Amino acid sequence: MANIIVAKTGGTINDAEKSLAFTSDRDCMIELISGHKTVSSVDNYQHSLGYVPSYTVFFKVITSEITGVPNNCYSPCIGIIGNVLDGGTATVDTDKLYFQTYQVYNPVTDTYDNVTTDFYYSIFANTIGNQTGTGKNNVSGKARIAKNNLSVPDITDARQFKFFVGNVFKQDTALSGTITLMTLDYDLKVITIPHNLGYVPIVYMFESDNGSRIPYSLPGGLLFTYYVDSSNIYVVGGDFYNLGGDIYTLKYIILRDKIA
Amino acid sequence: MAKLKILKTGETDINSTDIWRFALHSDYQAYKIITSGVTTVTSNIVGGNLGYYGQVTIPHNLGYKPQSFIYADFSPFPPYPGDLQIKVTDVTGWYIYYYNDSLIYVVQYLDEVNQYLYIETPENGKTLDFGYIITLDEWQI
Repeated sequence: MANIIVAKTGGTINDAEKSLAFTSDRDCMIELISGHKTVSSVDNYQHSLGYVPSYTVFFKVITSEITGVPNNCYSPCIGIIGNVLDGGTATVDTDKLYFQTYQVYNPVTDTYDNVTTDFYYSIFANTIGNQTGTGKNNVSGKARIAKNNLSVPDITDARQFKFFVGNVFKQDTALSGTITLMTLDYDLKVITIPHNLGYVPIVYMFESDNGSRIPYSLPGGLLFTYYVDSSNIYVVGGDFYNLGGDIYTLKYIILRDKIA
Repeated sequence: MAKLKILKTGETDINSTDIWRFALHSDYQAYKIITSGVTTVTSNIVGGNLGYYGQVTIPHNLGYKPQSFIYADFSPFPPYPGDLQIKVTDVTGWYIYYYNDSLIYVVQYLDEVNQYLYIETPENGKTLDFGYIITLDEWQI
């Protein structure tokens, strides 16, 4: 079977697969749906796919509480932990993507008040469950590559394609890189990384020792998170119980795909 | 050098420098999936911080640390009253999920050979379903 292999500019089709821009030997992460929703308490977006899709959500932090992080930044929203320091909840099932704002204590009324939050979401064709579902059954267009043993004219379900013209997230390896960060007791360290794209890009970050995505926080007090605006990435680290401070290496992957 | 560019539906300027207008652009690397699937982790080994733990290892054998996207299904665990029922959500390095009066530690990490999915619970025999997408794309670029 013939393959389509696309090398990155400056590379060759004989480069390692990991460095290729595209190869029809592998399935792509294909974004089907993107958008944003302003939520005052609880709300959802109905994707109606019938299966659990992969997704990614960022939320906008209107008022920053962290010195060195400006207002109106965007940050990843992971389940109920938000970005560890700022809140917001996102979760998905076979029909909807759900959002819940975080709450702040109001000492005057002795109540917890919702903080209206803008959520920015990307929903992928790629499934992360076993459900069969109805899927998205209107994939068309001239640029389509079917998964193995399938034939393009016969299929329209997004899950059955290695590629079609939705959107493939585009990693900018030249802009991406590495930082080191020293955590100190009670001190949230902020490192600013310029990207100067003029829009807010999707950014993923990973911690070097364990290869895990951040944000996360350990029960012992170590935390990593990050914020993005149209000019910079702001990486935040802290370790509330470590008097000596440790040095961590973090990797950031900048995509040429917009949060906003 | 020739380039391959495919515009998103509705976009018309193939010469645009706004890369987000493209569905595919050969200057930039797409995420290429090496493996994906679902698995269940059961906390039935005595130990860990909470009392019981369990782990599943998913081999990728790439020889380097890839970028992975991990999700967990908390549907069986009822939330605190008033909180949104968490269903499937992405989980990063460490994830602590509180439900009713209990909690789960969820840890996902990887090395050059394997992806590891780990949970801890105070109760023996708790299970958590994971979905995983492991890409060829190197985490260390």
